[in-house]
Amino acid sequence: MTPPATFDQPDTSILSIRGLHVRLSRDGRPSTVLDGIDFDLDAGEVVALVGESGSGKSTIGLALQGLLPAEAQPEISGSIRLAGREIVGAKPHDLRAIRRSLVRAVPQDPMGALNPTMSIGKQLREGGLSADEVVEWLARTGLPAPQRIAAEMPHRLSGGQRQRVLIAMSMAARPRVLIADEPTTALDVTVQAQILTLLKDLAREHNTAILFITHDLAVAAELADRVMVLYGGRVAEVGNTTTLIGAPLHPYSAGLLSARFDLDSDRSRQLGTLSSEQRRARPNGAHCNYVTRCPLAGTDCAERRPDLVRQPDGRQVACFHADRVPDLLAQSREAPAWPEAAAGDANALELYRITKSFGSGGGLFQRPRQTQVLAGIDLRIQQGECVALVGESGSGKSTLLRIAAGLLPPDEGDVSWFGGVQPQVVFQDAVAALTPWLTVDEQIRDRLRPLGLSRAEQNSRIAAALELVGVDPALRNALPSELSGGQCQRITVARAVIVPPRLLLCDEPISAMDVSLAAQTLNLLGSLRRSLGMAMLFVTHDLAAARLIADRIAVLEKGHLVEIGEPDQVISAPQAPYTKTLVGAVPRLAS
Amino acid sequence: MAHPTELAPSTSSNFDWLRRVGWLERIGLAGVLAITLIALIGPLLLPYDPMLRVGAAYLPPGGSFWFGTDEIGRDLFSRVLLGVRYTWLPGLAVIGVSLLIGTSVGVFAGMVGGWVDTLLQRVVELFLVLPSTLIALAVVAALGPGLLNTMIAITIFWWPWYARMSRDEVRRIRARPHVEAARIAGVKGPRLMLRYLLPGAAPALAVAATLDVANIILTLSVISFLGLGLPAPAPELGAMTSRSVDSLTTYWWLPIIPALVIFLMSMLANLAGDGIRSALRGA
Repeated sequence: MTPPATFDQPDTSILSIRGLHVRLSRDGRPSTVLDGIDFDLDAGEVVALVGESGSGKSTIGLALQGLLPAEAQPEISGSIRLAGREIVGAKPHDLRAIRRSLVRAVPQDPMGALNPTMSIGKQLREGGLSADEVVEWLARTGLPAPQRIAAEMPHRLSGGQRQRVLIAMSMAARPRVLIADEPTTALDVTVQAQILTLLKDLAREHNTAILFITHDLAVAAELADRVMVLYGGRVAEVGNTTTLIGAPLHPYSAGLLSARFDLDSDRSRQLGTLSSEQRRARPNGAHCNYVTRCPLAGTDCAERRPDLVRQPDGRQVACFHADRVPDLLAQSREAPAWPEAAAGDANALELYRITKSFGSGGGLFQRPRQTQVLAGIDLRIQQGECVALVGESGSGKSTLLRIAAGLLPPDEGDVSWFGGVQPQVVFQDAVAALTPWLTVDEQIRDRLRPLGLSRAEQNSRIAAALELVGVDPALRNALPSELSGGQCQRITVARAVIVPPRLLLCDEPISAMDVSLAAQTLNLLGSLRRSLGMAMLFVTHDLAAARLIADRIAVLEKGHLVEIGEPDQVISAPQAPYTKTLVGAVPRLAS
Repeated sequence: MAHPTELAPSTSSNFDWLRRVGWLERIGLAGVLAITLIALIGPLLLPYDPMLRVGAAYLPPGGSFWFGTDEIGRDLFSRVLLGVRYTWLPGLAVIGVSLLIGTSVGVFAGMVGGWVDTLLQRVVELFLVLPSTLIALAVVAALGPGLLNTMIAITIFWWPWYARMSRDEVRRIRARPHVEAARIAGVKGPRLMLRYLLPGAAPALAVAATLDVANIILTLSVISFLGLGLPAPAPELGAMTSRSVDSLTTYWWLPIIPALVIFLMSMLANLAGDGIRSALRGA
């Protein structure tokens, strides 16, 4: 693995980014996505790029490959030198050569990156591998029976297998830099851990540098040598993983850490959240980009822009008030306790021997067959109690929620609600759960219509509900498209609780969220269910979130309830083998 | 818990939609407005009486007769100006009525579902499989020629397209999470239909209807061309083209100018349809 002859960089860095600015247009409006990035990547090094959606982390990955979307009319300036070759301003022909041999990417969605009409082996051979090499590379990614996999079509493989195929495909080209853009977010937790280990091993073995793009600090901690935290297109903090995670110096990294929860978090109180949620409009200019959310922001932050400053321990931080961040972290550990909960004896929800099957297939090449999704589920939720339903995709947990909500009839079995009143639901995708052409006010008001209140009474109820969920009542006349994702989620919660239901069903409400937003939503739902005395069914694939919010955890595996019990008992002493796998796969900060 | 500055709604301008519309499409939108204006106030602008002989026959375009004169010395410009009115306004009326009937049937079928939906779908298909122009001709022949009868004939085979489209749109929107969420929030009946379903179907219908203006104009012209539209002296553009097509080689302006105006109106309507599609894309 000697560098190519054109290699003219003096030091060990394989990738060197200097003063990178990128502007992209959306709907004809240009905005600055990357605002002066300086960064070096050494050969064989694994660096995690951490940031929330919109921070510009994926744009860095695309810029490195010369793949900024043309329809966004990218304007790029600065320099990206990859193994001595300049990427900014390079000709399409050179970029193709660079993408072929120097930089490869593992995408977020493995299915979209594979040709659905071609066998795996054939697709790998198109990259110039011989049939033997194909099998060898597939085997190297830990795929069992690589010969069989090579003969398969992509749709016959699981998500984890497809991701391994893509890793094999990328690594077989022996790139100098591998860009992995959230390669595990679409995968189940048990598979995530395996993919991370695989990437790490391959990087070491082949001296490939990995730029690992993620929004999850814990994933970064498991994998990376260094962490770079991005905020609003600028580097907030760069440093050695252990130092940065141990004692962050930028308020944004501190906020990410404090909001981050795992199986060791304190579940007797709310999660510490250090920042308010993201504003939609964030003009770049002569100020710290984080100023609108920062708890430490002073007048200087609004007037000048902090530069990256090297600290004594070698890391770099862009903050005027880095010295006050440790106090801030300590303060966040004293988050408020949960409000007092009211419980009752009656059952808010009773599911009795629920079974459900779906017919699938029936296509040209597939026999139609009935797949059993739920096999005789019994579940009771008491008034004021919260049960978390945990399982991987395909376990039937969302189907069970839809049956419990009365949206889907079970094949067999009974659903009964306390008082016969249909429960309210908080959906996974809050933006999709709001009607785009109706204002917040109109949508919430529709829940009050049956109550026969006067207009003035309705108005005050709506204002009160919005305040309860932490949304400025002045936003009542906004359309969903004018709000952030977090605000939309709060509004769907407001709509659900404005007439407090006996039972609130939550379908993966935090799975699409950044850590800080997820923490805020957990705090909100956890407080509301206690103060309003609602029972709750919380469907999630995230065991850590389930442990924090629920009084009991129910584990669903392939349509069977395999375990149910107190959260700490389920997690510290899991009985079912499946639960053990789930617990073992949750990434932990303190490892 | 929230920072005060984050709560201000983002200031989105009311003219954002215009950004998404290309300049050609803007010309289409402006052109459609201009044609409608001409159709409405056309009679006030006529330089000559379009029904009377005002000069020598077969005068070529130029001089005091911009588009020349026809076989009996009527001013072609005045006739075309009035012809825009007789072609454009019926076109809009047919679209409007077809939309009203089609959308009512379609949204109802889509929302109710079940056997009502199946029945209405079969009825709609019955209309759709009939050869449209032939049926229109038969209807006009049965009712007698005339503008109103022509419009009725076209509406009869035009509304089913909108019925099917709005029905499919409603079925599609009905499956979306926000409608499910609204149902859980207790919204039902006409309120669900008018506030939660119909506005979702409206953009697609608006685009289809604007694009159809051109088709309607052409169909109206075809029927007039075949001699079943407005009776003889009335200046309908299709009829004008048809009656003078024999003189194409000798007095070209007689068939060409009305035909060009039909072409221009169709093209502007198509561009406007594209413009509306672009404008609604981000909505």
